[in-house]
Parts: sequence; C-alpha cells; structure tokens
Amino acid sequence: MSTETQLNAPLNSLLKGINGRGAEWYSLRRMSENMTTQAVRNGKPEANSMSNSTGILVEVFENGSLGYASTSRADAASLQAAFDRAHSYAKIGSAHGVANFKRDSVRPDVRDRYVGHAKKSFDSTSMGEVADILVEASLAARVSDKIIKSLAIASYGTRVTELCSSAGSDLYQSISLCTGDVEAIAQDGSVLQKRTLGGLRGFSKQGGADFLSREFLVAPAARIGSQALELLTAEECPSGRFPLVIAPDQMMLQIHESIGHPLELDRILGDERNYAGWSFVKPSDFGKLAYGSKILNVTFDPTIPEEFATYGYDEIGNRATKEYLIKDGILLRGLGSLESQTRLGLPGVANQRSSNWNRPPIDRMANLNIEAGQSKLDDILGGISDGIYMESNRSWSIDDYRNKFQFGCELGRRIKNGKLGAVVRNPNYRGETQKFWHALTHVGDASTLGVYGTPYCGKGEPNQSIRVGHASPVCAFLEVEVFGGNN
Amino acid sequence: MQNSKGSSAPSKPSTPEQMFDRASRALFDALKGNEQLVLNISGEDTEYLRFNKARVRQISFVQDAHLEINLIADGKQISSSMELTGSQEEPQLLKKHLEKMRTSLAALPKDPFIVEPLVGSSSREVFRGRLATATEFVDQVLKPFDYDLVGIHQSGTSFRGIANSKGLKHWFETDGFATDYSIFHSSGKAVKGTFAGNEWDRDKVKAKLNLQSKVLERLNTPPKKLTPGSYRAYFEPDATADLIGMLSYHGVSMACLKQGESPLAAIFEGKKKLSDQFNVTEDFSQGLVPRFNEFGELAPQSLPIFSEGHFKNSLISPRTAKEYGLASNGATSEEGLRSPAMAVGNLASQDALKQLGTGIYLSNLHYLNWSDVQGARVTGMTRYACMWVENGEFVAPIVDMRFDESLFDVFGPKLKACTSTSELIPNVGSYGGRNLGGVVVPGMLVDGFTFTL
Repeated sequence: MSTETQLNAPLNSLLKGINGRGAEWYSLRRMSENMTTQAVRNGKPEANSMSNSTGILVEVFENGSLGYASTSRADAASLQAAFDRAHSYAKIGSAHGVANFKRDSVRPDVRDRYVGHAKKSFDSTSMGEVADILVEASLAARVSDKIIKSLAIASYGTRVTELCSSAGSDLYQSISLCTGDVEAIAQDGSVLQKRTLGGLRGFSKQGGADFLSREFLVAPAARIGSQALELLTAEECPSGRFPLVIAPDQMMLQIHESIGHPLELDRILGDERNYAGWSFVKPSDFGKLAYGSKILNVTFDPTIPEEFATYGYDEIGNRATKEYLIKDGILLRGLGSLESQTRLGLPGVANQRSSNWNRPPIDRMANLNIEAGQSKLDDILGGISDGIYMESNRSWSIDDYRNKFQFGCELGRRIKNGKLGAVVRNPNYRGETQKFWHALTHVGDASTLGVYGTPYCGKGEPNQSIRVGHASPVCAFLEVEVFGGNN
Repeated sequence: MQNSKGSSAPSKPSTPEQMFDRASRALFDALKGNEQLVLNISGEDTEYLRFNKARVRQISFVQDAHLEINLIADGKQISSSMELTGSQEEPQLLKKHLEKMRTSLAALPKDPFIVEPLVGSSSREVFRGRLATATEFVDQVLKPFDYDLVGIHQSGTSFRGIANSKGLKHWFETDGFATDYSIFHSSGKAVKGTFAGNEWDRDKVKAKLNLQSKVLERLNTPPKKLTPGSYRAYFEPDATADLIGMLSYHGVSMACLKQGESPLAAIFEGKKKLSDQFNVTEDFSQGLVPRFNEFGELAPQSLPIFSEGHFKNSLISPRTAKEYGLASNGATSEEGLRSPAMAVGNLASQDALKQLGTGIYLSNLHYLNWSDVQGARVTGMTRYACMWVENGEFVAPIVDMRFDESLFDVFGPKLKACTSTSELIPNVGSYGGRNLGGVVVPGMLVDGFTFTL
C-alpha cells in the first residue's frame, strides 16, 4: 500500500530533493518487502496475512564516518530530517568513532540491475489456492489419531532493494523468496515427538510460486506424519562416543553456528561482544589456521539461483562473488564487508546486509556452503560398524566464542555394520568447534548435497534477523559425544 | 482531496496517534455489510547508538509506524500490515487496500476460531521522560570512560495501539532509554550491565560504571577450568532472568500445552511440582508495558502463574480460549509473559556468597535452548563474570562451561533459596522493533547444577 505514495517515487528524484548541506557523500536505500504468510493447523486456517514493509535508509558519509537514519514517512520534510540526523551522526562518529574510512573504499559506486531466480511469479497464484494446498498438506500429515498437531505453512513474496548515491550509484535488486514447512506432532501418553520438513524452516529458497505446489508441500506431508509416529515408539538415542553421520539439513545449523558466526569479521573486531559474542578466531589465523580436516572446503557463494541468500550485490553495492573461506581445511578468508576489511586489513566478501530498511547494514552470512566431496553415501555408511545418523535441527546452543556447542535433532538412526538401522529419538550431540571439524572423515559427493536455508539468523545491535542459505552434502565425523533425552 | 465524510483533507498528522486515528477513521468508514476490523499499530522514534571500545561504531535512527489491519467477514479473516507514511493520500490508499483484502478474503476457508472485535472501555497512557541525545551520551559516557566498553544505547519514544470497528481503542506511548553494555578486561573476560528508564541521570550512570569497573579487577586472575559435573551455584538476577525467559519459550502458553509443545506440561498436569519457593506472577503494576493485547482485552493487573511450585495459570489468548472452550486471560497471541515477576525469598543478597560457600557464582547465562522438551531440560553457557568461589570468597573467573539442566530440578528440589530483594532486568531486545518492559527477579541459590562440557 505504502509503496503507492511518495515512497514509490523514483529514488533518484528523492535524492535530488535532499539538501546535502555540503556533505561529502550520501545515499538513499529503499527496501520494499511484500510477503504473504499462510498457515493451516489440523485442516483449519491459522493465519492468512499479507505484509508490506517499505522505507528508506539515509546514509551520510562525512570525514571518515557514516551516519544512518531511516523513515517510513516519505514526505520531503521527513526525508530531509532523516538526512540531517544521519549527517549529525556521521559528524559524531567522525570525532569519536572506531574507524576512519575513505568513502570510496567502503561505499563503491555501482550502476546495475539484478533480478533473482523465479520460474513462476507469485502473481500467478492466489491466497485461496495456497490455502487449499496447505489444508491438503495439513490433513495429509495426520496419518493417525496420534498426530495431535499438523501444521502446514508457507511464507512467500518479494524483496526489492534500490540504492542511489550522491556519487551516481543507481542499483536495483529484486529477489523472490519462499519458505514452506509441514510439522507433525505425535503423542502417545506422555511421549511426544515432532517432525518437520528440515528443521528451522529449512525449506527456504529463492524462487517463485513453483514452490507453492503440492509437489513441495503435500507430497512430503504423509512422510512427516509417519516419522513423527515412528519416533513415538523408537528407542532413545544411546549415549556415548560414536561415529556421527549428519544429513544436509542439520549440517545447515552446524555450518552456521560453528563456521559462519566465528568467521564474521565484525565479531572478530569485537563489535558483537555485548550481544552475539566474540570469536575464537584471531586476525592472525587467516591464511594459517587449520580449521578442520583437509577435506573441509567452505565457500561463500551468492551465485546459486535457488539458495535463500543469493544476490548480485550486497546492500552497499559491493558485487557478490563466490569465495573460498576454508580450502583444504585451511582458513583463508572471513565474512567481512568492505568496512571490516578496511579495519582489519584482511580479505572478505560482499556481505554487508540488513534485515530491513530501518537497520544499518553489518557483516552477515549469506549463502555459506560446504563444497561436495568424493564420498558416496553407501561408502560413508559402509565404513561404520556402530554409529549414529541425525537429521533436522530442533535445538541449538553455542558459546559466545563459538567453541562449545550442543545441538539436538528431530530424528536419528542407528548405523549398524555399514547400513542405516533403527530410528532413535531425541538425538543430541555436543562438541568443540575445531576438534569437531578436525574429526571430519567424509564429505559426501554431489548426489548427497542438500540446499537449505532459514529466515532466522539473529545478530546485531539493534537486533536484526536475516535470511541465510546453507548447502551441504552428507558429512561424517569420528567419535562424537552423542546422547538422548531424559525419558 | 477529501476524506470519506466529505470534509476537507486533514492537515498532515504530526504524531503517530494522529496518524493511527486518521487511518482508523478511513478504514472504519469504508466497511460494508457484516465486515469488522481490528487495527493494531506499533512503532518508535528511536536513536540507536552502537559503540565498541568506548567509541562510536554506528549511530542510527528509526522512525516507523507499523499498522496491522485484521478484516473479519462471513466467518473468515485476513490480516495485512504496512508502514503508515502520513501522506495526504493515505486514507484513500487504505481504502483501496481494503478492497484488495476483501477480494483475497473471499477465496479463503472459514476460520472457526475468529475472535470477534470486543466492545469495551478504552484507555490511553502516555509517559514522557528526559532522555540523553547521542551527543550527550558520547560526551557523558563514552569519552570519559577509560575501559573497553561495548554495547548499545537506545533512546526514544515507543508506541502501541489498538482500535476496532466497535469503537474500542487503547493507546500506550512511552519515552525511554536502555543502555546495554559490557566492560571488557584485557583478559577477554567482561562485566555485563544495563541501565534503563525514562529519566536520564548521568551521575547514576557514572556511579554504576565506576562500580562495575572495580568488579573487573576480580577477573584479573587466571581462569579456573572446571570439570563437568554438578556444582552448587548462585545465580545473579541477570542469570535468573535468563532461566525465567524460558517460561515464555512455549512454556506457559495454553496453546503449546494443548498442542504438545510445552516443556512444562508435566507441572501443568500436576504430575510434577516445583519448589514451594518458586512463585511467578504476570505483574503489570510497574506500567512498563501495555496491559492490552492485540484483540483489545486488558490483562489482569496481576495473574499468578506459579504459586508455591504449582502451575496456577497458563497464558490464554482469546483465540486459544475460543478453540478450547476456555476463558481468556488477556494474553497476546504469542502467549508469552510480558511483565513477569518472580517472588523474593529470605536470603539476604549480601549473604549470597557466604551461603554459596564453595561453588560457582553465575553472573550471566548465554544462548539458552530446550535440549529435551519433555524433560524441561535447558542447555546454555556461562558468560561474563562467572566466578569460582571457595568458602564464600571469590577465587577466580571460570573458563566458560556448558550446562544442561531440567527446569523441573532447578526450580524444583535444587532451588535452595531466593534473595530477599529483586531487580528489574530490562528487555533490551529490538528484533522487529524496540521491546518494552523487563523481568523482575531475585538471585537464586541452587544445589547440584549440572555442567556438561
């Protein structure tokens, strides 16, 4: 709705309307996100909501520092007031800031247009049609009376980001986003088990209405319900040290927490020490530290069309390219924007992102992936006489330096004599980051690769929740501490 | 341009409440047939000053006004949200948007649990304060402070409102600041603190920072590495607050209890009981957060949640109430605690170390999550100035430890004492928008708290 007012005027014309008061450089960044979220529980509607969030962030650069002010009021006076505030903040930062930047080293000039992958526009479907699919999916997951809750959910829409600067930048980016999930909770007496389509809303992708289909939402629903049911009578996950094989949807969380966050350069610089935390990684570790075993290869890759955090440029206009962060186990590069690269004198990536128009961009993950290895799934399992397999995250916790973690999964299976065996419930594991990655023994080949994502990466002050993508093959680890539930 | 009643266009609204009123009038005037509307607004004018090493990292300002429209008709409902822009065209655009909602609504299935708009009394609360500007904060806090200070200062006005087509309206608006910070020692250890309120007092802030910087000296000792196991532990109010926060993570929600997602179901069902000393109330008496929910209901001023270890009341939103045939108690849709207060006990705060004897002094916890829902087991980490204590004396900071412990135990037989005073731990979160309020909690003495890594 609001996009039809002045907020929808050409951004360049809004920029021209600002009195720059002699500022060195300034920009307007407008974000407009139109999302629809629908949910059906036990066959009945739970939510049918549309949202539009549109606003403008003004950035002003003055004497080595940046100031920021955002507004959803797009009248000229409000925009000018935002500019004046941002200008005053830049001056405060200039006099007492953590860094002194050169403008063109932290705010590149760019003129381009990027439109992300979407086979089928969301305009081709209606909320009524999506509701019908979700009702079907919800009911399909109710494979037994013991399924006490079956939820089907879809969240989809577009995000448009525009950037214009006083130095002539003019950037337009549009992406289409889709998250779908089916949840089933089974109960038998006091035993309850939950199963979803990948944990943490892991079925999150870029793309259009093609994902709002029976193929993606209804087809897996019965399996989700059946697995929840199967977990009710499964044995508890055993406790002890076992070889652990992790499915791509849980690898998503493992990569995210124990590789992604510790490699964020703003964490290493200490910006996050009061909230998200610091990092065990030191600036001197880049180029030297053996982060994991030699088969560990990790990339920042914003180029995979369907992955959730693919883009052409980050939000300051830095062109996004695929980069190796860890190659053959050695740490090469951090997740740091141009600002962090300047502050540390280290290479980084194009990852200065914000959750919305009303937050300054900071160092974030985007798509952070483990590159496929050489091992076929049968070969990975074949070498294990007694081990555990886990998939789909349900619990996560790690310390503020990103060392000691504990993760829980929805579903586990015994691995006996090289084969997947009985399902086990309440599987958990814990470990320490570097020891864990050095225990990586197998990286699955491309046939085992899964592409996942989640809308829930939290960080920053003020807080920002952002979308990330993680692709990974199946991976195997030696002698991990594994345990089950209380019951 | 004319509004829907044909009078001349209103002048540009200057306050969020005026914008909300104008949007409400436009939308209510456009209703047809049996249509009904519930409108909610939330927003802020906030200055966020982020600092690292006692220097400015980023200063930003947010001005927003997020309107949510809930349209109900023919047994169906649909919601839509957007930012109010304050433009002259806004009333007409809202009406156009309502048309789009009507079209989408027609194709949706019927919703058996719709909460009809309430008829009732309205309310208005506005709290003004005296806040520090960014320049004042830098001059009064960052520049004079010699320590490695990192965190955020947020300062400004927040507002929440609801209006419905039955004529009910509630408005809550408050000025306030919250400074959330850590003071780091060169060893990498740190002391954590917050100050919050609506009257900035530079002297109080300075005194607190100076006091805490002295605490830093305790950390200037090689850290002690503990082996996993069970330890007697004292929880500072900050650490208690982290555990109490888990109650709102599916714990006390009636919907979660009914749908198999509450870790506290065994207490609710009377199969387990917590300690007699465990008393938690949803207490709005401090007026830090609005009592109204998004349906327009006013929650009771005080609602006991746990009394002497028994689960007295879960939080029930009107939608949950409708689905399960219960009475609503004014909870929001999330059914989380908005203004929790844990009762004090008999332990004098100054005796806490002595009563701890030998064990772990927990200043703060970090990254809590349920590790076993049915067992109410929570895992998380120690953080900041957590210390090893022997014979009632601080000995050394500890190397951070992972814990994994059931709330059935920590708020049950393992809870030995609560301090006789409590503290307000402000809610400094800002995902999606600046949070309001906080949690009032005492310190706790706990036996046999389990560390695993």
